[in-house]
Amino acid sequence: MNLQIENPEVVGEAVVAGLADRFAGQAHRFGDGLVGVVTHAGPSASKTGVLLLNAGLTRHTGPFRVHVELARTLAEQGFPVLRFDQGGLGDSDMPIRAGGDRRQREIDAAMRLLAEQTGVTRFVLCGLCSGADDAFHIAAAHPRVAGAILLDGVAYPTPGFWLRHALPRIFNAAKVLRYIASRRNAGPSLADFRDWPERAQARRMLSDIVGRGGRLLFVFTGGAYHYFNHRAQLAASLGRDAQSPQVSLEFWREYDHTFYLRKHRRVLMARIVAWMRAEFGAVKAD
Amino acid sequence: MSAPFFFGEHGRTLFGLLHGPADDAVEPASGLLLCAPLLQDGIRSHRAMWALGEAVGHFGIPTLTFDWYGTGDSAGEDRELSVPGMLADLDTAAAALRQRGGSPQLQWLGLRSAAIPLLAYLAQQRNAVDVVLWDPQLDGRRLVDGWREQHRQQLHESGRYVNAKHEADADDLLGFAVEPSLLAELAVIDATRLVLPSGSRVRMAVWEMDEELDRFAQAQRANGVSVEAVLLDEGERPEWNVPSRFGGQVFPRRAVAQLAQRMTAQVPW
Repeated sequence: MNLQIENPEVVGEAVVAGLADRFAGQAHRFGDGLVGVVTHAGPSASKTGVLLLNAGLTRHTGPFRVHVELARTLAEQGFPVLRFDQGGLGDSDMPIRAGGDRRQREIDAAMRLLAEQTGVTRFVLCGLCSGADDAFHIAAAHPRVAGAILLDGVAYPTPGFWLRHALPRIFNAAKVLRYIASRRNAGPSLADFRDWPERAQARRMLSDIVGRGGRLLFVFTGGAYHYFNHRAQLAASLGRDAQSPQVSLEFWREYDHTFYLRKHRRVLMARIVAWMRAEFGAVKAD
Repeated sequence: MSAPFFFGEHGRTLFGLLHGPADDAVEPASGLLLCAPLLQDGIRSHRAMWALGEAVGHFGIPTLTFDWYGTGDSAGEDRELSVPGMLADLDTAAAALRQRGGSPQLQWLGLRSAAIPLLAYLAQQRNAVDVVLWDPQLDGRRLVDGWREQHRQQLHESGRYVNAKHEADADDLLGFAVEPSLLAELAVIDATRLVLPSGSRVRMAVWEMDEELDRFAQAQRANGVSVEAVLLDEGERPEWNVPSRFGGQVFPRRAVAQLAQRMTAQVPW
């Protein structure tokens, strides 16, 4: 048989049709068995590329295919995009080396691939949930990361959060009893599956990103209601750097975590495109 | 070892991942085409299908997973998914697998709702076919009704929204844009009545036999098609229709292992 692998680092290519007819899509195998798709943005594309990271365990196409739609839309606006699967997820192999620097190594490989394929020199990382956690960690550590889009990303409950959370419930006996029962039988919560640093460390990381000119777009939805319930909470938990002009914040409490409805995804898409254009000045693709 | 690639005609390119052994010393006797279920089930079960493809491919049977047109990484918009389109995709994917896998003989496998387009396609073939149906959904009307009910529950009962109520766009279904024509096409297909070419072989891997599957098996046998069934471990049966599990991945590990062993003839059906 012939798997048609001419180059073990780069495999296969084609032009994707539909909205993306004008934007070539290339399938790649790279790094330690990682698989991803590059969406090109034309000859006068921006030098800023976007990496879309896995949302939890969901494949690189994203929940309800949102990463495909986002990649095509950003490419149309002049930004090359790579959506890929981290080791053990989606179409990528199980990781060969499971060391603590695996996330860094894989995203490094993804950045190298996007740079080689499109000529970009700096990167914006975009992720939902655990993808946002990955983006925050890498953005703090990597000088070529110029920005990050964090969808239901890092934030910490504050006294204000607990006050706002408890007040509407405290006079509801059923909710109080449920709360007491849940404390007695506490199983793993969603927070147990997040990869957040200690709060002081997160403040330093944010300060580092802002200090070297990085841009951040935080978007919180109703899916984060168990740890985030007011816009002011971002600065209250991450410090005054969260109020820097380089940091943008949206709080859409009426939306759900994975943007189930297309009308909500349209709002998300428009906000991301507007933010990318404002912060990174894209040239519309030819 | 897997290789991603796009294939098919310009304007209708499909994304595929070909799983195979690292070396090509052995000429394969056949290839295996894996067909993913539609809409959210396709996203939820993706890694399970990947793992099955990887296991079978590693054993020397080139195995192709692919995205239907309008889904996943393939070209097209969500709303362009259609039954005639899926039948065309099966032709395209089979040709790609034969060309790249190196064997003219194919086995087919469909999970859940993939059984409907897959059986509609295979029933049109002249020659005998070899197909595995994994937890198949055969009644198109029941499938569509189930999707609509799940969508209603996601909007209004699943706890997805906190202190908010939303109405979906008319063509929203389970998070995707779905044309009414697709639902109409599926609803009129009762795959229990589709008969495969005489001499074909059907193997079913199911968590439970029911009247619908029995009816399908009887119709096939009456036409000279052999039908075998294997029961999967009830303990890991996925909760496909539970609203709170809708966003979670489905990976029944023992079922994947059982299927891989049988697809590679390490264990008889």
